Amino acid sequence: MKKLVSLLLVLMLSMAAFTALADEPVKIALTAPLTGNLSQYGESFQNSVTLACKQWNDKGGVLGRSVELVIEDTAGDPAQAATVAQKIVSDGSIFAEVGDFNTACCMAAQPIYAGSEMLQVSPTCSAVNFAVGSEWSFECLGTQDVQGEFMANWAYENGARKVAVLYLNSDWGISVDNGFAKAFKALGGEIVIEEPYNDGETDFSAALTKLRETEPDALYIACYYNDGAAINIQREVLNWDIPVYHPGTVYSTDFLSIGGTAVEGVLTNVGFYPDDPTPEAASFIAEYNTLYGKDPDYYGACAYDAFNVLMEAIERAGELDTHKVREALAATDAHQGVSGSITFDENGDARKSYIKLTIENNQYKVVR
Amino acid sequence: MKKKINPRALILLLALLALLTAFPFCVSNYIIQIAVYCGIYIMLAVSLNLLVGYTGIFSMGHVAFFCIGAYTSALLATKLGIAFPLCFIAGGIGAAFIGALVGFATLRLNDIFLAFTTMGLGEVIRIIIQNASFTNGALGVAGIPMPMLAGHKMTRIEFYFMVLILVLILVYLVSRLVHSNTGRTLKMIRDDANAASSLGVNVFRYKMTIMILSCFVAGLAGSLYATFLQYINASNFSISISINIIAMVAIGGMGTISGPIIGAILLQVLPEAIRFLSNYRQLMFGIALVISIMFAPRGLVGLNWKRIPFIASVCEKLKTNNGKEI
Repeated sequence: MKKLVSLLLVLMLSMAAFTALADEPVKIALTAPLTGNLSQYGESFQNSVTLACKQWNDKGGVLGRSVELVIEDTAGDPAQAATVAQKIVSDGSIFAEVGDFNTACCMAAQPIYAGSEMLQVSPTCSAVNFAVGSEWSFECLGTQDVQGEFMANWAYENGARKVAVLYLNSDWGISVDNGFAKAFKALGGEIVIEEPYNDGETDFSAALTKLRETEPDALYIACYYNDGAAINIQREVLNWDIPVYHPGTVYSTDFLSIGGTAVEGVLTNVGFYPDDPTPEAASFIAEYNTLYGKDPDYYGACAYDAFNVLMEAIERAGELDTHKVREALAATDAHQGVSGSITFDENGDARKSYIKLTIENNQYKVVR
Repeated sequence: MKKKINPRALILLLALLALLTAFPFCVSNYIIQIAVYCGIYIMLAVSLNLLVGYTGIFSMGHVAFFCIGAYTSALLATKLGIAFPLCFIAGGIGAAFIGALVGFATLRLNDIFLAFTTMGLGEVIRIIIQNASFTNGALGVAGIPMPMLAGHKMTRIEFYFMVLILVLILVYLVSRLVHSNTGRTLKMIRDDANAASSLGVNVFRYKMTIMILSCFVAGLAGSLYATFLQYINASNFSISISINIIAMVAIGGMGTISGPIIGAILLQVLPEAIRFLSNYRQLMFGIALVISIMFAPRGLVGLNWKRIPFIASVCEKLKTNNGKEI
């Protein structure tokens, strides 16, 4: 009798242990610059991914287990990104990582995740040398080659044959310049000048005069919205009327308010357009707005998608095996995300879809 | 006359060494990572202390030499495939060479002018690296290989021991230097350069020597940093690093051996220790710095620790023992 009781007890205990194991949440780390110069992007990452995580838990979690976020701040500093990566892989209970925002942080953390065979899904690291550097790294923004091709086709269709490029001298700006120039030359167009400017510069009149001397048909300017507005204002002061193309980074209401009449007619693109959303994006924007009281930005949308493609890959893999999930993630095909459709190429770079935009009466307008 | 070594101090030292040796086997790679950063920053702070604390050369551009060392080592390793020990030495020599050029041009300047010139230099070097094609420009240098040790890639623990040994050697050499005749001459230059030169000291030559030495060490630290991180980018080397190193020296205690070491460890560990505060982390860090400057203007080492009863009793014990021995 005693034996039977103890046997039963052992059985019950082990059952309890087993259910405890099954109930343990799936932990996903999010790394982002929550402090420092890039903190507005970090906050956007945090909000969007927290929302995505909540939605998955409301649906019953992934593989029947709840999902838990572990949020770490890297302050946009590569040395801290490496430390945080080490902390995450040393933890032992974390399954995969989503992040980081800037290229330097992603690149510094990459060898550590690769060494521990942990998935690193960056929402926004579009540098050409990132995803190709490790089989464990993926990115959801799309490389500048794809965006460059999209913009080059558009400029060529509009009749431009000689384009002058002005770009921000950073890893991002160089990638944008290269992507566009390569595609435009392949179409048979000519890049008459590629002029870099440094972060923090405020006077662009010399650079614009230099571009003007090459007599281009159109300008392609790789910059963020604040520089973009300043460049267009100075172009207007110089009385230079010419078609201007920008990558999607100028898409911001601040670009309109700072730029005023100078940005009228500027051509750009966006993967995610809150005023004309797809059904997926509409519900994301609505929920984001109720939770945080404002509209999400493009980078937040990318972070939301990055988390979702990872979760879907876990569902498809059917178990928490990092090799199987990696294969499932690589096989992601036309995921209808809020920032556009996502398909990974053989390197782990997303091939995204883009929407053409222009500015009319100080409002963004879709070009069809 | 040979100095007798205090046995209790010796035991304390041995215990510390044993702790430093055993510690990496008990902790995760995350802690080892922080420990290696501490080691690298100790090298930077100790080398800056030679300039600021012992010779009175107020350099605000120490990051420039750190950066040159890192890039020299990283480019040699990735583009030419040179083994780590050579890259390491080359990083130091590269930084020392630029340090000599800069020293030749600036060491005749005084205080605030020197500070501004070196600060400008730090930014100029960063911008050159960001724009030059041979440094890979703004894309940075990726895929820097870990050093090889007995046929395999060095593990993080092995890297930790390499840094530990280098730091111990450096601290020993620096303490020998500052307690030598040269060291006393340096302090004289710091306190009054005119008086020193009136006594026949070649102030410029001494300053140059220390500048070259200090830059050499900063370059070595840069090489370790690049190799350990395996990726560097010009944005890693902003002026905030220079300020951070100065803060380490100032908070620890200028012109002391242990000050920069304590300062470097504190300023590396504190931001990680308060990581759980997330968004308030930078604020807390700032407050901690302000408090330490308000209450310990001569650095932590300069505080009157004996006011704390426990420390006073330990000091007392060490002293009485010392008395018996002699």
